[in-house]
Amino acid sequence: MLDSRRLSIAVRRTPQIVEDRRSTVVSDDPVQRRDLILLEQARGGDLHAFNDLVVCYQDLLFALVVRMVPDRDQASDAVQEAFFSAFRNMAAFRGGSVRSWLSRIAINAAMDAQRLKKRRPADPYPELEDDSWQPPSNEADNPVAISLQAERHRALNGALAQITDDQRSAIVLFDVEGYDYAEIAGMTGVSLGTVKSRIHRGRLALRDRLSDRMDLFRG
Amino acid sequence: MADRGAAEFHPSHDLELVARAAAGDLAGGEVMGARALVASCATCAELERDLHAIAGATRGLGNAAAVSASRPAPRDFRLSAADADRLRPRGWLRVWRVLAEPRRARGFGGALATLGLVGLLVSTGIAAPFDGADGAASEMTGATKDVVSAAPGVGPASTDDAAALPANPTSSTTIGAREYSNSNVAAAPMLAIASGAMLILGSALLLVSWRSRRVGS
Ligand SMILES: [Zn+2]
Repeated sequence: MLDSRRLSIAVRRTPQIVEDRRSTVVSDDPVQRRDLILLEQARGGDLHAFNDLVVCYQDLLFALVVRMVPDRDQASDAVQEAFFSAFRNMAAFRGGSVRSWLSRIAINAAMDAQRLKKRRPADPYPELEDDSWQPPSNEADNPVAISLQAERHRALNGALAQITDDQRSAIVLFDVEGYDYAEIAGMTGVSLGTVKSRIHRGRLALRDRLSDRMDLFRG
Repeated sequence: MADRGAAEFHPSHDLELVARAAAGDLAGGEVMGARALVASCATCAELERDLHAIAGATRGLGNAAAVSASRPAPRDFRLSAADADRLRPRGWLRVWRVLAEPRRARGFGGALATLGLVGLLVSTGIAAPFDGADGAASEMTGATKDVVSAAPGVGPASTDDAAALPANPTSSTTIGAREYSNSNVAAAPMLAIASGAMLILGSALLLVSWRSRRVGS
């Protein structure tokens, strides 16, 4: 069984390079090589190979999508749709990183879910219970610091759930996931200026929502 | 140092300019304007600091890779055999998928679009000259009629006689040209329709190729 958690996944801050290569090209990266082999087998009709890819990336894609669609049920549906879409469009994979390809499909699925919610406006997104995750910290032994950080994350996630979908997506993709402006413009189908504007207005909106809790974030 | 007294003017200040300054997204004269604003308005200065803090805190939320390492997805998204069966393209859709594969789409699309365009040009080229020939033939037939009716002893009433007249070279050419043009004019719309379909299909494939290239999928 292939398990992505055993393999180190680099946190990307640099612009992604979309390589125009066939998936059969041998990659130096073992994760990439594994993914390309699985995808090639899946394209040949092996469902188990595709499902191995699903197991490798479902946690990652859910974590990505749930930030953009802060409702766990809707986020789950979007991730399922993303895997359906990936299965349908395996033939369209042009080589490069399978992980980036799946992430882009998941981001599109998340935006589709946002559009669907816009058409059928219901309750606002619930606040995410996000305090179960803590980043590695030097202050790990300091319970006060841990508690403060958890409180900060809770407040920030609550505020993120209240701003517009477009602003939240732009902020999540830029600040949290580390994509650059041009990549976000390509993924969301808007101009560079619109991406920047969404991020700036989104941060202003976050500050507005957090106005009575800014002491958590200052100094 | 920010002037507390300027705070009364704060409602008219450009907050997005401050947000752009906090993100380092200003260029040229805007930088000076933003600096002046932040230096003169304590509320704007505080906003800039807060926006820095919020951006930093957002980055600290942890990206999907970091979060997913310790927080599994709430359900299993593996596809069942029934899902796979439902999602596999069939019939024409399967053919389209094969054609629309990015590498093939560019070649097929270009070839089809070119053929379609040439076909359209040819079909309009076929129709146009014979439309002209047909018109000219009509004119010539009219002229012949005038000559015939003006000829002494040949009454316009005797059409049978006129038909039985010795073969008029102009008339036979006209009839032949009309028959030929009719068969070609009849073929032209079919060619135009087929070419139009090829042009549309080719353009669609080129669009698919261009989009997949743009998305980098
Ligand atoms: Zn101000």
